Amino acid sequence: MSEAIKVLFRVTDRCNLNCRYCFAREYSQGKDAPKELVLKTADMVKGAEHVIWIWHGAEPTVCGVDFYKQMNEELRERGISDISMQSNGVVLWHRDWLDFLKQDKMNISISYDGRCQDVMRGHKVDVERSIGALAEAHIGFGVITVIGEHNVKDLCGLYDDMKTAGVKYWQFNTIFPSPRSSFIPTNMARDYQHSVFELFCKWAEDPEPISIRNFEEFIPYMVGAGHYFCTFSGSCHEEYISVTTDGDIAVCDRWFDHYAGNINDFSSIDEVFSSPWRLQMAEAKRQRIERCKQLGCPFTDLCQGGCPRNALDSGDINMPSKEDCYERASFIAGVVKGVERYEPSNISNPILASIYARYGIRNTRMVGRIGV
Amino acid sequence: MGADFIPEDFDINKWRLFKKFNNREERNARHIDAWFFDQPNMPKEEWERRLQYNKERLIKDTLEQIANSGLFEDEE
Repeated sequence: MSEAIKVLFRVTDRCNLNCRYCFAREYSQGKDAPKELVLKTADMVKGAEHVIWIWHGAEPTVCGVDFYKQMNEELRERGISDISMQSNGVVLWHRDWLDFLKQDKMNISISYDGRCQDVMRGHKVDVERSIGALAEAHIGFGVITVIGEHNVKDLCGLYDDMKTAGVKYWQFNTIFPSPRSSFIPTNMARDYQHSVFELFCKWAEDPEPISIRNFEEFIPYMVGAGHYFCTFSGSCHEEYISVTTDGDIAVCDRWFDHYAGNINDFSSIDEVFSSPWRLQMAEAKRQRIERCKQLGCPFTDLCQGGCPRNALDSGDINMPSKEDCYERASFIAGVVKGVERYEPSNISNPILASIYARYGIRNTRMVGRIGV
Repeated sequence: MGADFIPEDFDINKWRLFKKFNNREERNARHIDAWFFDQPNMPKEEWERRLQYNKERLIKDTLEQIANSGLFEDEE
């Protein structure tokens, strides 16, 4: 039995938004997952040492608060208590949702694009109202912002937006290719690198910062501690399952094909992880890493051949995605440039200072200046 | 496709030094013979001597460890 499993349960195909970069809308059949499917999935994974259950969609809140009152109880009865929801946040300010979340303690992550919200996603007023209401009710939540061609140069502006809205935990993800959207163009990679560096500096010098997961997890990760986003681990096929409303099992919520099979085809979660498609993904990862080494990429051990979905969308799952490589190299170079700029003595940000202290980070100037 | 996605201004050797020096497992396993500066009221001459020793020794040891570590084999 696998030790830790992350279940991205796509509880519905429906959504109350129509985002310009949505990768799911074109595949929607307007269906909800039956409760029996939730329970069957929970029964299958409940023996794992640790299960992280994430309610996903499209938009999970369209199933209504009563659904989650019942289902979260069922999950907990099966020993699954690490429960999250990824929501667009449009309705979370409603009284029934606030009351439920306060009592249930389910982790909430909201997709919110700050100044780009109305252009790219819509319902800015509602989402900001939800953020304000959650903060006021002391309900913990994080925010994820999509970074694309439209805002890649303005990470600092988005950081300001998050602080203004009352967000405490922030993460930014670069856009996924889909029928509606493309990767950040490779000719904008330098813009992204510069934007990451600028944001790092702004954050390092902020005495009252908000949490930025991208930096807080990546800095320890690049010196060999902890882990970073799934797209850097290269091991999604070993720890994630994503269940569609029909019970088909994919790797994550970005897959609308290449299923390992249907949940009814398997009697245990181990069978899923050892299914032919999962083994093929493991082999594809090995081949991508081999190719990265041949290219002489100095970041291979960090990115592990990149995201298999991005590789497939770029034409070949066995080859690293060129766009992925540009994006990652830009991000890493931006962070490293920032880390090289700061020493513990000139960091105002207490979060970053504690990371430097905890992991003994020294920039290369300090390495050559011993006794400091 | 070559590794043309690496920014032109990114110094790969510096990156390797950074990674090698900061790597958590390497750091835990590494022993470098150096003075600590945790004694109050140390005479100024002794302070200077130890600082100079550390500077020379740590740079020398670090570079030697990098040279002998198989770092480049690891990341080829």
